[in-house]
Amino acid sequence: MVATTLALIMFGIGIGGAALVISKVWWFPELASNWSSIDDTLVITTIVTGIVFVVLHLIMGVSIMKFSTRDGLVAKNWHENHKLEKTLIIIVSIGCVILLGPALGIYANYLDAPEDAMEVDVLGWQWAWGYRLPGEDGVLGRTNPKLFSNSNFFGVDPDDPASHDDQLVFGPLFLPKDRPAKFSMRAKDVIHSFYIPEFRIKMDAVPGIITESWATPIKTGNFQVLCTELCGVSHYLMRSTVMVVEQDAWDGWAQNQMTVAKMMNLSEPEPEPTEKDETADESDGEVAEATESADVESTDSEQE
Amino acid sequence: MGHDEHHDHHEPQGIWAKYIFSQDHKVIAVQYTIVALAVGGFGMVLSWMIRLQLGFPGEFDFIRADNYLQFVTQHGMIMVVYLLTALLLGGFGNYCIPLMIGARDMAFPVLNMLSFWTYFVSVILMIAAFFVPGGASGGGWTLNPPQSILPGASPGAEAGIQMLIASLAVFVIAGTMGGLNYVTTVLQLRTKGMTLMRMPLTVWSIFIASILALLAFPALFVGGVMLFFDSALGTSFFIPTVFQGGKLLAYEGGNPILYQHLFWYFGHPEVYIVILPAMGVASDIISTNARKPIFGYSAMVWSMIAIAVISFIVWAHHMFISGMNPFFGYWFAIATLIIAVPSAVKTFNWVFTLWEGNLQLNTPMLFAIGFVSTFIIGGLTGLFLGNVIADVPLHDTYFVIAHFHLVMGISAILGIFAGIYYWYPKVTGRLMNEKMGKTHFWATFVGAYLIFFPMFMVGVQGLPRRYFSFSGITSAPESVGGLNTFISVWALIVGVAQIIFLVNLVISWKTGKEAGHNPWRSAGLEWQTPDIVPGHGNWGAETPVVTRWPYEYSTPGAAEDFIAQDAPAESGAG
Repeated sequence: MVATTLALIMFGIGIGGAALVISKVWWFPELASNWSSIDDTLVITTIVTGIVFVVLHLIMGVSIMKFSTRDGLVAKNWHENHKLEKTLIIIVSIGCVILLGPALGIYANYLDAPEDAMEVDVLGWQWAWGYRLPGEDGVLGRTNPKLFSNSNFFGVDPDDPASHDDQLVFGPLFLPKDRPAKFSMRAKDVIHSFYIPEFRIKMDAVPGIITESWATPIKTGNFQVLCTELCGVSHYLMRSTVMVVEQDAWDGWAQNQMTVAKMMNLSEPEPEPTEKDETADESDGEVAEATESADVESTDSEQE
Repeated sequence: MGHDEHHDHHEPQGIWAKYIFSQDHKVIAVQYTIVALAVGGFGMVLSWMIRLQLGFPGEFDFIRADNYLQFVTQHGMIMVVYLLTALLLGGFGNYCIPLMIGARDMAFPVLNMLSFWTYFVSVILMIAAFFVPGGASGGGWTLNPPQSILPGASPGAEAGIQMLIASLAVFVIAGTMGGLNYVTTVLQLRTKGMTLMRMPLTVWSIFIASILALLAFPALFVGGVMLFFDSALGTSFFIPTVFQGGKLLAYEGGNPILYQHLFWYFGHPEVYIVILPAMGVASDIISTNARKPIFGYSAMVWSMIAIAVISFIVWAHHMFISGMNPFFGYWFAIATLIIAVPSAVKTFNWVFTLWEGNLQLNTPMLFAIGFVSTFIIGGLTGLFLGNVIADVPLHDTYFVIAHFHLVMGISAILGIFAGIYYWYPKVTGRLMNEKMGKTHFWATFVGAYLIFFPMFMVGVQGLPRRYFSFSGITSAPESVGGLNTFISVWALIVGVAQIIFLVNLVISWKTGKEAGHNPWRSAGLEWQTPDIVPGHGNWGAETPVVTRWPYEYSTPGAAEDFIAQDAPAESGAG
């Protein structure tokens, strides 16, 4: 009775578990970036580990059925089989190499953002995300954590001319479809983590250093940014949105973002003709303010 | 050993010397076990708070975003440190080592007593942290700075975390006293004939885990002290320049990732400190109840040693996306998948031990088999998280929660239950009730799967851990709320089922079936003591002489299906 029940549970765990995974009732959200290779790794790992999981549970179930005690049953005394052990060690090692080899190649790719990627400075603070785009010159200006202040929200270094045309985004971040985006991450106060489930990317934003991650959006639409490193009471509300649009729509949006020069009332930088930007930005105070509730909350608390 | 004439083990007199400030390893083991189980019960109630909120969001007003984080943090810390580590090393280590190696007691009985009372103080401090201004820490069990110590981030960022660090420091002292004792006892006090390779795997596993603890806990101690300084004295070990609450804080130049390295240099071996003893206990119980020698004994020993060594070079697989140099990811992924090999060897060996055995499916055996099953799923899912690029989407989601609960929480506690049911007759002379034991098993084992398998599904949908609420997350479908309710209901059921265990534990003490000398017909030395419940000094005039390994089961030609470890060498029968 006990034996049958336990054996059935073992079969149930093995087969039921496999069925639940294969049915994909609950699975990863639909991929919206170039990282199909990460999904492939997850699928391969699921298959390899799933087979081991099912086989071991079936063997345990059969053992329990066949060898649970009854009159006259005598256990066999064997307890060594070096050949079997060696074979299994080799099989497991091969399995690990299969899992690891291609995955490390993908990881290398993950560490190596494409040259033509658009750089986005991602800034996390309690409890919201902000973004800085490189502006017309395509270069993000220097930053320094010592420069964080209520007027210099992003801690940019105004002495670096490249920073003047950088654009600050407090609302949703627009990204052009099919163009690689490299996220350089910083944090103002505590550690946060930048996670877009549909992109499969995640990286901690750590105060004091800059970390990186990249992805190429391949689908238009709105995708949520979640914070995945505990950062305080409102950690669970620290969300933002990435809106992937076609290139020309993005161009239109990008033109209208507030520049650092405008925000900090910097004098005209000498080499760059940013006249056009400045006028275009006039209307943009509202856009910056149209932030999500979490943004507003924490922006208020920042500027108490 | 020879000093039997008038050895200095006098029976202590009076309640205080006998049961409170006892130096007897068996009493200390019971003290450790009772305190750890009580603390664990508290930790389980905290987990209910978490599940009530996630399963029934908004239904329970007393759970708020701030105390939710305190429940999460303290649940984790209590279960890993104050329950599992304390019970497996302090409880099982103390009880099993001397009896299984034929010693009269631990090498340093006074130190042993101090170890328990120091542990007790650490528990008091940990509980006291709930009552300091600001309450207990809500910084997550890893206590990552800056968040854990900056006021205005999580609750308990000042007095609460300082109290917790003090408690952990005291715990490390207790663990060090215990660990030195276990290691010395195993190396010095084995009885005649008890060679290292005749030691039961329980002793091997606790011996290795104790060495790990001695080497790993100092990193926690150091990290804790530095964190305490950052919090109380304003040093900047872990805090760089940060801007919070509208101003730059006085910190400068620290490195938050350094703390994570220190923490996980302790934290990863800690996983094995917990799981190795559970493996050892399960190995012995499986072999005894399969009436079959453990398959591949030397492979079991060597794979534990391999796991122990490698466990010190895999810590940063907890930090793949922490912002450490990303090139470390290659090394730590490779090392992590290497550690899968000895873990797999152990799993295969348990399964082979069952094959062609004569399985006695009593309560300890059920829990031991349950341990193997949950270790398999927990271990296999580790291959996702250890393989750096696969970790990226899963990191800090519920997938991780399900993984580590199964591999080191559920597996370890199933091993503990197996051990308690198994050695209870040794402690009390009576068996625990089998019916209640089996009911407890079905509910706990099946319930564990019903809780944690759906949790993997929650995780793959990208839901992050330590979230007070998932409402408004667009990447996951609506049905994820139903999954969470399902999980919570089972968490409550499994929790309530533990009451059966508690009742069984208490009532069997006086009313359980009399066990006799060797209720499981085990070959192990601990069942060969002259008294059913060994008295002070464990053995009679002389300690036993060991003639063989502890897995002599179903030997062809023997009179019985086991031969005790101290049976005379020539005799074929037990």
